Formats: sequence, C-alpha cells, structure tokens
Amino acid sequence: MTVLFIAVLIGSIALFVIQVNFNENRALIQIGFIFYLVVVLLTIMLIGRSMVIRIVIPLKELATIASRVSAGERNLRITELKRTDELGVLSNTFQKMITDIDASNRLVNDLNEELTEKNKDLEQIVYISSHDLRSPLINIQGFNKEILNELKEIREILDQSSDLSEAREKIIHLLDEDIPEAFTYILSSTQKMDLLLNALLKLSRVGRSSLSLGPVDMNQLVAKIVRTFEYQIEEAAISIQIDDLPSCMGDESMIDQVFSNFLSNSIKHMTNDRPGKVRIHGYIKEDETIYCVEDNGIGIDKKYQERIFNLFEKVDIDKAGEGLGLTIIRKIIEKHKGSVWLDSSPNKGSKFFISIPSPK
Amino acid sequence: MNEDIIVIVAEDDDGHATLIQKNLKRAGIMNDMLRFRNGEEVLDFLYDRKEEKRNPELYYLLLLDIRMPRVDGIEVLRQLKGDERLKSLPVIMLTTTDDPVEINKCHQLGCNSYVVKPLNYESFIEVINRLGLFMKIVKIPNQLNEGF
Repeated sequence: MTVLFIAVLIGSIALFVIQVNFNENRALIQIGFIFYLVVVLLTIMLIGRSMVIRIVIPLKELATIASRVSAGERNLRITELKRTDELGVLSNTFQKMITDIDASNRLVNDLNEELTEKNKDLEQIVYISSHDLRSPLINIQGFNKEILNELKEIREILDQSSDLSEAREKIIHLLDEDIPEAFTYILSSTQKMDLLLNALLKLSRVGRSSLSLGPVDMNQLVAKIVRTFEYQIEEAAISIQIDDLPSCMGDESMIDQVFSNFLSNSIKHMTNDRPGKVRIHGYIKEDETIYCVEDNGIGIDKKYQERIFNLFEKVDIDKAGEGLGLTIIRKIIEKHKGSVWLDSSPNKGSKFFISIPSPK
Repeated sequence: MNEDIIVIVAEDDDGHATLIQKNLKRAGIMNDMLRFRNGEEVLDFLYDRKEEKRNPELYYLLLLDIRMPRVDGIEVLRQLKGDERLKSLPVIMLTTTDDPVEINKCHQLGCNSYVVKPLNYESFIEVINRLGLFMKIVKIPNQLNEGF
C-alpha cells in the first residue's frame, strides 16, 4: 500500500515536471496521465480491498456473533484480532463479554439445577410427612381409643355380670391380651416415629453440609471401611475382594458413608444358597472415576430398581433398616455431581456403580 | 354384611391392619378377612399367582392402603381397574392424606371409595356396609370370578 502511495506521489510530481518542462510534448503528457490514472485507480482499489479485510469483515463477524448471542447461542468465539486499534479493542471486549455471559449462564443453570433438586427434596418431605410420619400417629391415636374402649368394656362386664367367674375370664383376656397389645403398638409407633425423624434429620444434614473436596486415597479408605465391618463379614462368612482402586477427588467422610452403606447393604442381602462374595473395583473412564460394589446376594428385581433410591423405600420388607442408605448415597453422589446406577438380577446379585467427575 | 363377602385388607402397617379388623368386628362385621402386606402380594392373590387360591363361590371387597412397599396401592388400583376381569372388584382406598391430587388420581382410576386415616370408623363401616349391600343386590361377583 505504502509503495503504491509513493508511486502515486512520484507520478504526480513527474506529471507536474513533465507539464512544466515539456509543454509541447502532448503525447508524452497523455501517456503520463493515463499511467497516472491507472496507478490512482489501482491504489483506490487496493485501499478499498484492504479496508474490507481490515474493517468490514471483522465488523460483519461481530454483527453475526452478536445476533447469535442474542438468539441464545453459547460458547461462541470471535476470530482473534491481534490489533491494538479501535476494532481490535472492540473485538476483544466483545469476546470477553461473551465469555462473561457464558460464565454467568452456567452459574444460573447450576443454581437452577440445585433449586430443582431442593424442590424435589421438599416434595419428598411433604409426601413423607403426609404418609410415613402420620402412620405411627394413627396407631397411637387408634390404640389409645382401643384402650379406652377396653376399659369401658371391663367396667360394663363388672356392672352387668352376676356370674363373676365368667366375667373374670373376659376381663383377664382384655387385661392380658388386648390392652398390652395396644400398649405395645403405641410404644413401637413412638419408636418408629423417632427412627423416621432421625432418618430425616440425617438426610437433611447430608443435604446441608458443604463438600470439603480433596484427593481421596480409595485403597486406604475402603480398607478402613472393611475393617469396621470385620465382625459382620466374619459372622456371615463373606469373602471380600478389593482390587487396586483409583483415587478420586471427593469429600472423604461422605465417600466413606457411601461405601459403608453399599457394603452394609451387600452384607445384609446375602443369600443362604451360596457363600457370600463382595468385590469392590474401580477404573477411570474419560473424565470420571467409576467404582463398583458387586455382590452375589439376593439381587433386585427390575421392577423395583427405580424405587429403591427413594426415601423409606424397602424392597426386602423383612430386613432391618429404615430404607435410608441408598437415599443418602444418591444425595452424596449428587452433591459430587456424579451419578449412581445399578445392574442387578434376582438370585444372582447386584452391582452398584458410582461415578465421580475428575477435577478439571 | 353378606357372609359370602371376604374383606381383603392390603395394608403394610400391622397396627393399622389390627385397628381395621378390630373395628369391623366391633361393628358386627364378622366376615372373613384376608390380610396382605404389600401391593405385590395382593396382586399375586387376585391374579391367582399364589398358592392360596381365590374361591370362585365367594365375593371379595378390597381395602387398599396407598403407601405400601414394592407395589403401592395406586399401582394396584391401576392394574385392577385396567383389567376387564377384575375391574368390578369394589375397592376402598385407605390413606393418611386428604391431598386432593391423590384423591383425584384414585377417583380417576376408578376406586369405589376413598377414606382418610385415622378412620372415622362409623362412616368407614357405613361405606363398607353400603358396598356390601350393593354387591349383594347387583350380584356382580360371579362374572368377577369367571375367566380366571
């Protein structure tokens, strides 16, 4: 460009000199003039082209990107202009603005997800308050009325019967059978209520506590957990295989809880048909670490698999526990932004998997 | 109530089941009762998948709790009312909540009655007697038992 500009300048000077010195030589002047015009036109064209490249194209791109951003597209990038002029500054500022919008959008999405989770929790609490927590109260109320009825009955028997030996038999039945039964139901209902409330509190504590993330040495942690279950493992003659486990980034005490609950479930749901086996293994897959607790116990029918993570849900009705373990596991894994799933078939055993995202 | 009617109680809570049985007896309903502890057990019985078979000579009335393990009462109701052979079986839903969403759902699925615990036994027994009477008058049951 500069070269052309100089050429135009030289051309102009030359034309002027020619005009002054060779006033009569018109042909030369004409050639010079044509040459001059060509050079000027060429210069204008090249200046125009350079303006298109340097200004119009970047502006067009900015306009396109701006309209895509306003249409809701995310993670867009503008071709970087390594320039310090106004357009360079505009383009860089615009890119920063897009990145900022993306970041705040991600934040809003995360918060929204958290809110949806909290809402689901709340709905579950309402469901539980209206069903599970009311259930023991209904027993307490009902059996209290039963006791009042039975006392009234005793009074009526005493008032009405002339034959005391016959009355005695009826009264003894009420005193020995019905009334103690009612009291037993009342007592067990209060215990049940206490159990449920404690479980709810435990779950809400997990929900409220903040994660203290750090590298977790899973080999060490799982070995420690297995030691705490030593007695039950020996008692049930279960053989445990622990493979070399990859470490992960997590809240150690929460991950401890997850594996304790899994192991406790496995031990609880063994079958007498074969010697119990538990295997804990893990691997890294792309950007997450996956662990599996596998047992050869009674397994879970497909039709119950969706429900088992729900609070107070028990598939094996006769086993101890309030139906909390898997709910807590799910809550903890959700807090780690991971996922939990299972692969299980009745009479063969269960494989419970968790995935924990690797740090970015 | 007609002695040929068997009252099926599908209720996971032992206390609730005992209270129902005691109060029915107190109200003079001496019909035989069958107790199941979850939705799956009651479905197995009604679909004759259990060792204990239904008696084709008898009529059945189902008292169905909603919140039960394995298969809940709403799912049992859905399956029964969606089955040509079983949909005439009278079902009374028993639940601890008067949540209108839940009540609506049960009515839409075709329950015959919906009662909230703690049961007001007077009105509960009235419902049972009415259904029992209804069953006797319209004599549904023999169709109910055909084709099993």
